[in-house]
Amino acid sequence: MATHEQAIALRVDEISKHFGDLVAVDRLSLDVHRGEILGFLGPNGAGKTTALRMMCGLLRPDGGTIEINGKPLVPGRSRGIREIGVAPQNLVIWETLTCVEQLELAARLYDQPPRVARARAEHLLEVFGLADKARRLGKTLSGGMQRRLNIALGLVHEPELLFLDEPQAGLDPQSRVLVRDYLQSLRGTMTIVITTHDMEEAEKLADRVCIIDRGKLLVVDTVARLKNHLGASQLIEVVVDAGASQSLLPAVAKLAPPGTFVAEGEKLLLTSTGSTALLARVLDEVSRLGLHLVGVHMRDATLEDVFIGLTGRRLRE
Amino acid sequence: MRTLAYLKKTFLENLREWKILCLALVFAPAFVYMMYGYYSAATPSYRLLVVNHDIQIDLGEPVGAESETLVRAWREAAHPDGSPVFAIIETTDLAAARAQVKERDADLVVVIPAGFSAAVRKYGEDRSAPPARLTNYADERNLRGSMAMAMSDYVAFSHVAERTGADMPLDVSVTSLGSGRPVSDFDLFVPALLVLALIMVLFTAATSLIKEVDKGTMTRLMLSRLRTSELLTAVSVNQVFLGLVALTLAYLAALSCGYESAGSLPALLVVGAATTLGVVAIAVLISAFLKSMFELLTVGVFPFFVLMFFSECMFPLPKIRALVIAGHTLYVNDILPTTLCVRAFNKILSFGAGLGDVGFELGGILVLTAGYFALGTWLFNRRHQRV
Repeated sequence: MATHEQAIALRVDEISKHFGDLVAVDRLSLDVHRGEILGFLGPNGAGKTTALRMMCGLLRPDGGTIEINGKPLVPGRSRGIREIGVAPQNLVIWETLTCVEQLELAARLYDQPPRVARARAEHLLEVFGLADKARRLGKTLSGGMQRRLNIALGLVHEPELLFLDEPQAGLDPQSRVLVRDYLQSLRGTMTIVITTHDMEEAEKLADRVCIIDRGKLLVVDTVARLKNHLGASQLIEVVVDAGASQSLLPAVAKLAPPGTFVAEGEKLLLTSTGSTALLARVLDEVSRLGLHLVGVHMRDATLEDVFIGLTGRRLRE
Repeated sequence: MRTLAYLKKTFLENLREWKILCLALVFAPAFVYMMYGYYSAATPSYRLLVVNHDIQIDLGEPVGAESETLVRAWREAAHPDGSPVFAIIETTDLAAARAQVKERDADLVVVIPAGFSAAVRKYGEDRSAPPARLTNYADERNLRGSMAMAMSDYVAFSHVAERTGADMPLDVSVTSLGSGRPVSDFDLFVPALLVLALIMVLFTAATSLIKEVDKGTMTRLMLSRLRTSELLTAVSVNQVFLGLVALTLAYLAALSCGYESAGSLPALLVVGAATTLGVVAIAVLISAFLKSMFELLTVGVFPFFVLMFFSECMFPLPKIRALVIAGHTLYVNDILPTTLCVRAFNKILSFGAGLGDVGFELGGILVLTAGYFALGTWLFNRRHQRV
């Protein structure tokens, strides 16, 4: 039976990175368990890609340590670590090589014998729906196909730890399902760290979710626990006349704990526990203030609610 | 195995980037044909305009006999292969003749003054008589003009000495160090034109490297187990092959134009391979400072022209001595491996030198190549592969 230490595929301990005055990553610590899929979330400019680049040895941290399967990752000297596979955010393919040629090349650059490399390339082309495009040059593929090839290139040497930086960007729904299904099939055999802005995708894929903002780790947990952390598994939306939700705020502030309600346009969102009892009192206030009640909706809380709750609504970039 | 895999990749990419490949392979042979067309492969006949005033007024003896025999001597002057040294055009319009020299339609104007025949005859009878005179008009900026003047003067001196029975003050003998066959302007250009084929590798080698940076695939290479040394070995092997193909094509083009080499093709290819490595090393150095194909095709053109001009591929440069090693003088522009290559090619092609005869140049090329590779690899690592 594996000990706790053996079960850690990636250990990030207090890594930091500065670019001039900008603190891109600030003492980030994280354990990723072997075989799990970790969603790595954060607003634009939160430091996700910087953190990811440090985790796969492409960027030297200013401080802190990283361990892959218990072995320290030394940037610059840990080149070609077989355990790591990466699908970068930008498309990184060789435009004038065919799909099969580039997959074979990538495998052989990790010392796989030619026959193994060929078999692996053909398998991944099949998996990612590119088998009939095997002889097509990279530059002649559609954007979605290039994106799938980009992911396949990170997988070709059968890494134990896969970093995917926004792999779903630019994929059509069919491709999303295809990629998601494949990644889910790897659950338990491959450790996957995936950054994404697609909360629905993260919710569907990730065993745990880690949210960072301004380079700091805010939270890391399962989606279910994060929703509970938000205070309620359900949300109530009170919809009044356009823009009138703001006038409800002073009254609601007396009724509900801070941080459990927010006015957004014509909506007032309530997330506090016991929100049903609160709802009756809020509706009394609507009536007392003479506002026109358009509707009341109740829905399940989503990861996006958790994300917005933790990182705020303000635009970052 | 990784090197082989990357070699295959870079070879395939070169094949598929066919426009750049064609440019690299066809550039030098095309230049060979253009230069051949321009200079034609014929031995040089200098265009000599003769303004003869001697004919009109010499009324004593046979009219203008000495000037006529002199003009005949110029006409009969021939290269060892029998081709004429001068193309003589007689004219009476000195102003028009001078204008032709300025326009480089002619190389030299020689004016034979009135009384030339009388003066020659008088000098034949009395050594204290004033010598006959000739006046040359030449453009000092035109090398052909200077050559034409030297040769026409020599013919004139010899002819008048013979006619007057005077002794020439010097008996100069010439022993050719080359093959002895007449050399055309085109022949003189061939060694440098062949080096041009190797310089073109600068673009293909730099393209192979810069493309990885430009397209972001350098990230994949950095993540893989491919070492920088393996990457550069693969690129170099591919480029040396390409360079040798380009060199062979340019050489065949020269042969098809009637060029006769005094040396051996294997010696040429060995020096060519070493020089291509040097050009690849310079390409690595340049690539360290560039990040995109656009930068390569704009900023990267500068080092290309430096190699082209300062290697003396286009025209000779003043020799500025830098140092002397083991009796061999090194000049400032010998810091470019292509300069040493031009010199070695010249020795091989024109003087039939073997590899042993160009050992110093070959050694110099290899030392420079090692130096450029060391510096280029260090900079390339720092700029594009640093984590």
